[in-house]
Amino acid sequence: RERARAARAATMAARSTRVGGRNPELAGQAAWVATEKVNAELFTLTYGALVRQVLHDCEDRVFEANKKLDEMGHAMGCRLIEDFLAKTNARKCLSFKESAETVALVGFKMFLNLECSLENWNDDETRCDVRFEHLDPFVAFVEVPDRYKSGDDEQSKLKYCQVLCGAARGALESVGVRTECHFVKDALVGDPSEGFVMRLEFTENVEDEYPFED
Amino acid sequence: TRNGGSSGAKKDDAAHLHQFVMHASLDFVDARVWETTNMHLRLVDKFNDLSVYAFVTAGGTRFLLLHDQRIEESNIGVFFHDVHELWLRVSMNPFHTKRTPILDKTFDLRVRECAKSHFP
Repeated sequence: RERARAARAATMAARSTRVGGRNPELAGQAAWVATEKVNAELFTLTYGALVRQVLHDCEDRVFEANKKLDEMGHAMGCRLIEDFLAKTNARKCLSFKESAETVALVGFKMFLNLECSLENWNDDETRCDVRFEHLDPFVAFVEVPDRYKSGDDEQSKLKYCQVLCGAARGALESVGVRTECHFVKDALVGDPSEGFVMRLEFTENVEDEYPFED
Repeated sequence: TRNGGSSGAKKDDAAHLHQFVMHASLDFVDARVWETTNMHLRLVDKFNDLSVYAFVTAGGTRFLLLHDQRIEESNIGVFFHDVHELWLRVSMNPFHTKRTPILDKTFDLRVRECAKSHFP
């Protein structure tokens, strides 16, 4: 009987941390604990070198560099979603709200240990803001030079963390949800006290395409 | 790259002399680097009553301290260590290269605070 009780307790625990269950934060926490870790500073320095190289390749054209970072993120997202689905026992999301929660509260937590909260939902629940407590794995020690953050036009400012947005977009697109994702508040190029806020907006459902002509 | 730090109040007309003395001492720094494995090179050059102390990081960045009064050598070691920590934060910035000048105001402020606390 002891064993049966223990088994039931284990299933209950597993069920609450199962993605798509009632508690995505708990699921995220459990997933983070289970993943292999890498040195945070190594990640930060590597990402910094990546952004530097992209800017160099685009010859300081910030608009092009932003686009390139987004594309890189998109490619990563398409692969990470497979890893994510394999590692978490995720069930199908029934609404955009659930998808957004899964990406932000479970996905970001699992891969990057990023604490965030979803806020500012619009009326038909197709758009929200993801507010990050901190984006340290990406932005620790970073100071963006003035030439990448001057100008009134938003497009002329460097979107340092665009790879993260691209990854979210790529992952969601692979499971059939097309979205728009960008940072509306970026402490690196704007007001440091406002922190980092990412906007996630649902565009449309992606229809399955057959890869060959009929 | 070279980084200069000077403590105490300096008049504008003396600033040129100080800069000249510091640049001239770089040859001595280069020679002294081979004589010790410490980063702190202690006193490397004297000119009249001006003394130059040096600290060379593992990556080859030099911190020079120009002083015209008698000071405790032990304080200098601690001061250089603190400046080194501040400089490490700046150098971790991916956009910082050996060629970029450090224009950050908070860095300047903190170095001055260090100087005030170690050399009252």
